[in-house]
Parts: sequence; C-alpha cells; structure tokens
Amino acid sequence: MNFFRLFTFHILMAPAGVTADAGESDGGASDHELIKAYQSGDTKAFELLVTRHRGRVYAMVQNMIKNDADAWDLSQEVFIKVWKALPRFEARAKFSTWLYRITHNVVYDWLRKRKIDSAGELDDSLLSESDVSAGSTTTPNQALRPDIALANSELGVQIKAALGTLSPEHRETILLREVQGFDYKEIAKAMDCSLGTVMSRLYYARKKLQTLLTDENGEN
Amino acid sequence: MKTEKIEELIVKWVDHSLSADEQEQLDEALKADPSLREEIQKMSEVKSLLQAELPQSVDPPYPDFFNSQLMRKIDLNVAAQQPKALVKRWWQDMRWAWAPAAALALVMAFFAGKRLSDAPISEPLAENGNVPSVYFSESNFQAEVISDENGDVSAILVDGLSELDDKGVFSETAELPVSYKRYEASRFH
Repeated sequence: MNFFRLFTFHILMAPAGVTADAGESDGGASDHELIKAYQSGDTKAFELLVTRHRGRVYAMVQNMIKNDADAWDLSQEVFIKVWKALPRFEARAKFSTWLYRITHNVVYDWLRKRKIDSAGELDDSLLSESDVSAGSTTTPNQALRPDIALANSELGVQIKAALGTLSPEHRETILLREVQGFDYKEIAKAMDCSLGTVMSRLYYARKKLQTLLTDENGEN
Repeated sequence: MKTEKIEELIVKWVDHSLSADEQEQLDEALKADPSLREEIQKMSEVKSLLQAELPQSVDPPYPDFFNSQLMRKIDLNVAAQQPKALVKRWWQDMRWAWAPAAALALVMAFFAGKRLSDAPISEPLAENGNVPSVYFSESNFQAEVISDENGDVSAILVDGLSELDDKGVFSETAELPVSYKRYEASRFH
C-alpha cells in the first residue's frame, strides 16, 4: 500500500509539540480528587481539570466538525456544561467517559441546529468546512500549529478527507477507539448505544477508511 | 457463521482483544474465506495510521485565553444566578401596604362608579357648564380641579398627602453574597 509508505515516512517526520496532557499523566491529583476538591468549593480544581482535558476535548470536537473557530466555541460550551453538572457527578462514573458523553451531546446539538438552520438534510460538507462561520465569536486561526501542519501534509489531507466522508456516528466511533483509546463499553456509554452497534460501526468505519485510503493512492 | 459475528471477530482481532475461543472461531472463518486475511491486515494498517497521524490531544488556539474566557463565562453565570435570588425589589418590602392600598382602591372605584351611574351622560364641560369635582374617601385630603375655558384640559391639585418615607422603602441594598466574594478571592489570590 502506498499510503502505508507515506505512513512510515510521517512517523519519522512527525511534527513535534503536540500537547499530551492526557488524563492523570501530569503527575498531579487524579480527576476524582480534583472533582472532590471542586465539589468542596475549590474552584482552582476545576481550572486544573479544564487544563488537563481541554486538548482532548478540542481534538475530538475539531475532528468531528472540521471548523477551528466553532470547535473552540463548542469546547467552551462543553466545559460550561461540565461546570454546571459537576456538582452532581458521582464518583463511580469514569470522568473521561462522562466528559465525552457531554462532548457528544454538544456536538450533536450543534449538528442538529445546523441542519435545522439549513432546513435540509444533514450535509456532510458541513462537517468539512475549513472557513470561519459568520456566527463564530472567537479566535482567528493560529499558524503552524501541529494539527495544522498535519492538515497540510499529504497524508493528513487524505486521512481528514476520508474521515469527512464517514457519517458522524461512524467518525465518532472510530475517533473514540483509535485516537482517544476508549474500550468498546466506554464508547457505548459515551455514544449511548449498544455494544453491537459499536462493533458494527467500527467494522464499517475501518472498512470504508481502508477502501478510501487505498483508492486515494491508486490501489484497489 | 453469521456476518455480524465475523465482523465482531475482525474488529477484535484488529484491536488485539480476541479471546482464545474467539481466535479459534476467526481461524475457522479465515479457512472458509481466505480473502478475509488481506482485509483484516489492511484494517490493522488503517488503525496504525490513524493512531500515528491523529493526535489524541491538541491544545485549542490561545489555551490561556481559552481558560480565562471560560472562567469569565462561568463568573457571569454565577453572578447572574446568585445575586438575583437575593435582591429584593422595593415593592416586596412594601407588602404590608398591599392590602390597605387594594381596599382603598376598591372604595374609590365604588364611589367613582356610583358617581358615574348617578350622573347624566356626560357632555363637554363648556356645553353643560358643570364643574368637575374629585371625591376622596379620606376627609383630610383637599382636592381642587382647574380647567381651561373649554374644559378640554383639566388638572387636579391634591393637598394633604403625607410625604413618602424613602428610608423605609430602600432600607436594603443588593450586595454580592459572602460565598461569592470568597470564591472570587480564592480565584485571584
């Protein structure tokens, strides 16, 4: 496969500097400890939670909607919803799964609203816009960030284009599995669907990506 | 074997999460359809490709601004919720006066209605020469009606009303609650 050659090349030339503030690997308090502190009135604990998880939420939203400015706003909305719901968060739940459930809801509400606003069928091109929408309230694009460097790379363009052709459900399932590293049960919880649905979506998403990426590189 | 089962086995094989029993089932499926082997191999490559190319975490542009903007929105939320519940409107402090005021209004409405029903159908003042008058149920009020020549414009002067005591009305001033002040202090210090 040609794209596999490209893939090995890109591993060697991978852009540096991508933030990896994943979960509790920063050596600080655990998510649950921070939540407990926040629930006891320590507001700084909430800011620490935001700093720890904002990168993963933003990456997920950005991969889902392909629009940087809206991704920024939606990530803010996610954390405002988290802030509102956090006093009711129960320790037996896993915070990251709960967080992605909220992210899922915010993204799908946005997609639904866009669908209603356009008064038509959900058009996948909506999910692949790269321009800033008129309603966006924030931030211009930032040049030469690692994700943009990826977007500009040949393989990155192919992968993003291939992901853009998947339905939102298939795209979210594969992103949660391959990028965020969720297990099947966590995906089912975050997306509020059955395990069987998760397996089926994963199979078809992988199969379609495989076909698209192979075709893109002139092989069948 | 059902198609759904084969798909599940392939997904699990790609994720290295097959049990021994499931591995046997997949081996059987691969014997029956050797083309599956190439398919699962390619799927596995797609998985590696996605994992290598798509970062798990990408800080949003201007991450510090992201946090400060978020906390500002939250502050606005807090400010919008908490003080609203505590601010009293001036008329809420005047609850004791609602009943007497309503009774007074009823009495006035009764007498006003009675006067209207007793009086003949009104005509322009200039034509019937009537002088308008005002009735108060309280005897300590003085009222005088002043009209222009045609009776088109009239003014009522009322004397004897006591002044409003604004000290009693605005005795409480809206202030942020102590818990909110503490929260603010903890954020910035």
